Amino acid sequence: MHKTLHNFSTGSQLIVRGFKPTLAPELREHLSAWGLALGTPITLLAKRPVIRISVEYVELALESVVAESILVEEASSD
Amino acid sequence: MSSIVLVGQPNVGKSVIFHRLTGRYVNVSNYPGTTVEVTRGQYSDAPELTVLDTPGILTLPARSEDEEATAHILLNEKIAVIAQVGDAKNLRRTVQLTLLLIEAGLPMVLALNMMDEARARGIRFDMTKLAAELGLAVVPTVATGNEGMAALKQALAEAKVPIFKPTYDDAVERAIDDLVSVLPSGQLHARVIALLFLAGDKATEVWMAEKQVDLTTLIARREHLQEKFDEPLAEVLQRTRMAAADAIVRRVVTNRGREGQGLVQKIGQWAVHRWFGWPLVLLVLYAVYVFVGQFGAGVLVGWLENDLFNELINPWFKQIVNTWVPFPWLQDFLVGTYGLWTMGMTYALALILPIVTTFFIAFGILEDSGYFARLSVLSNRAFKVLGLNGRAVLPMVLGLGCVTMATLTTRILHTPRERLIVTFLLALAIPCSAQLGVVMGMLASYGGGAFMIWLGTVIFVLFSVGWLSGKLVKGKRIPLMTELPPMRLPLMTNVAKKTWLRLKWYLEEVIPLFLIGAALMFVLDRIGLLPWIIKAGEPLVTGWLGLPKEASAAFLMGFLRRDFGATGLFAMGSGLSPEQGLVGLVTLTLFVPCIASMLVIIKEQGIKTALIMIALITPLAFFVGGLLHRTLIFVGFA
Repeated sequence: MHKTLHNFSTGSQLIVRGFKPTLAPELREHLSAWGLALGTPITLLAKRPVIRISVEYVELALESVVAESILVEEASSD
Repeated sequence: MSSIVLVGQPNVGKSVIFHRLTGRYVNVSNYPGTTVEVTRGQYSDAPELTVLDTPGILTLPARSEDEEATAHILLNEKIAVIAQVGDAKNLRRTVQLTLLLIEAGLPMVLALNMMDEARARGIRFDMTKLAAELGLAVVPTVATGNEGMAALKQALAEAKVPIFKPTYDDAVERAIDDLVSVLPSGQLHARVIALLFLAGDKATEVWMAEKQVDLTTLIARREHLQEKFDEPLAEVLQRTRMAAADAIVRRVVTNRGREGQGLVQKIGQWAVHRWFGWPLVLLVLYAVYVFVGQFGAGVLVGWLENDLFNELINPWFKQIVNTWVPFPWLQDFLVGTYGLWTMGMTYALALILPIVTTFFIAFGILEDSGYFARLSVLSNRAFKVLGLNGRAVLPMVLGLGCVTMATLTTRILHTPRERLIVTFLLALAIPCSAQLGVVMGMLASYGGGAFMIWLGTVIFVLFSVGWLSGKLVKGKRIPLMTELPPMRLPLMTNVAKKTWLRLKWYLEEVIPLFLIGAALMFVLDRIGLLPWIIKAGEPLVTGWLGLPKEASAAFLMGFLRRDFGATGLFAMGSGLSPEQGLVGLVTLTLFVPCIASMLVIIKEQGIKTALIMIALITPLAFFVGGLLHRTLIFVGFA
């Protein structure tokens, strides 16, 4: 069972392992357009006031409802 | 005429490259969505070619109206070369878009821009190997520093059709082949049309329908293909390109670099920090207030209006007119109370010009730094109340520069519902630069408390009406998902260029309107209608708002432009008490938007919606003004 971004601390290096089926398809497509797909390495930058992550050198701000639909695991365990 | 089409992800420097290729300057900023419309210019090296600057696309299918404009250009424009502009720091993302554009079967060049930022982060890659992998010319550029432009022009002249083609899943490839056999021939290769159609791109479907393609059958085929995958087809295609891009990047990158940690990046982090973010907002607001309200509206207006215009220019001009112009009515028309010079030009040049100049400088610095985009993070919770998300803050903040332009920027929002609500709020409660400057100037003389009351009232109205609109306008809220551009030190040459262009636009638009306004006031005064209007407006202006009856003229001017009306109040000076000034300014802030804004609202939302907005805004402005008057009297504000 993969965890969501909420389960990790700021600064964690993570790998995207999936998306919850509850995530609306249009939002999932948008994440995909930003390069957030299965296997993408990301860094968790902050959790408040919204979740911020970096994908390559792109910084994304995601509201909680979106962020908690992204399933991740720590990069080291990859 | 054939075109060079600049395509790329948002905020990668397409507009700067457009400027380098055409000599034509378009607004350049550090946030995604600056370009919402296609801009055309003649290619300076080959005038027979047009260069097109398109709104940024993350990938296709398009997800918003501005992205659709780019898809439309790719499908319908006669294209000589596709010039993809990519961010060198984000090679993987850049290459995945290349892998889609490559399929168009047109000559193509990749400009890898922002090489300076990539170098600063220690990112190194083999450019020759990348070009060989993709089968197209790859040119490293730093467009802001004019680096690599000669090489880019050379590459454009020699551009060839790329040879690389990504391979998709077998089922997808079979579906593409099926579609290719029935699609009409056009300038784009049928394979890219098939890919866009499978991904559900709306602009492509419109294009296909125009070409008499039987969409019903093809949509059924697409649905049949979709059944084979758990993920949406768009994502299946995107994932394939992303995997291919990833493999290419792994082969060409020799050093992945690391995130910059300079002071500017630190400020960028503080700007979205849960504790430091809001104090920083207040600090920025205060700095703008001091620069625009106190320096621009106080010091500079003092010099220009009092020392230059009132002491020197106007007496001299009046003397000349009175000596050389034989007709008293014409003298009055030029230098009387509502004279073209004494009212129109003096308002535009002595009162507004110094205020908007300082405002445009401050605005340009913030815009270039990437600060505005960060406000979307801080403001998300507040916008949630309105049924919007933090991205809505961008058009709102841009509205402080110009409501007309900001109304166009609502295209970056993802749903018609969001665009409607934000357009309405822009029309209602966002003062443009000129008006804001005049407001700051007047309120600076009343003290900080008056400014806070004005700000609090406008924000209260904005959020109350926004909340109600969010409840009434059908549709669901989209949660915040946005890109934050890197924080950068503003380029002073860019700020100066933008300030100059905005001032030029401002003077071209405002001076004629101010002259028309002054002429209108003169005519109304001459034929005796102005005193009648002032008298007719007395119950509202004097009775309800508690203002002197002369303030009716300011509201009349406000119908032309809100800042013209606000300047009318400003010019009344000591004729207004602080309480009256505050009530007048709040009412005018919430007043109908200027003619140019109305035209854009009609263009974007239709005439019916625009008329409903006016019908709601006008009485609401007076209602709030009257309530504020009574509240201020009640609490003893003098």
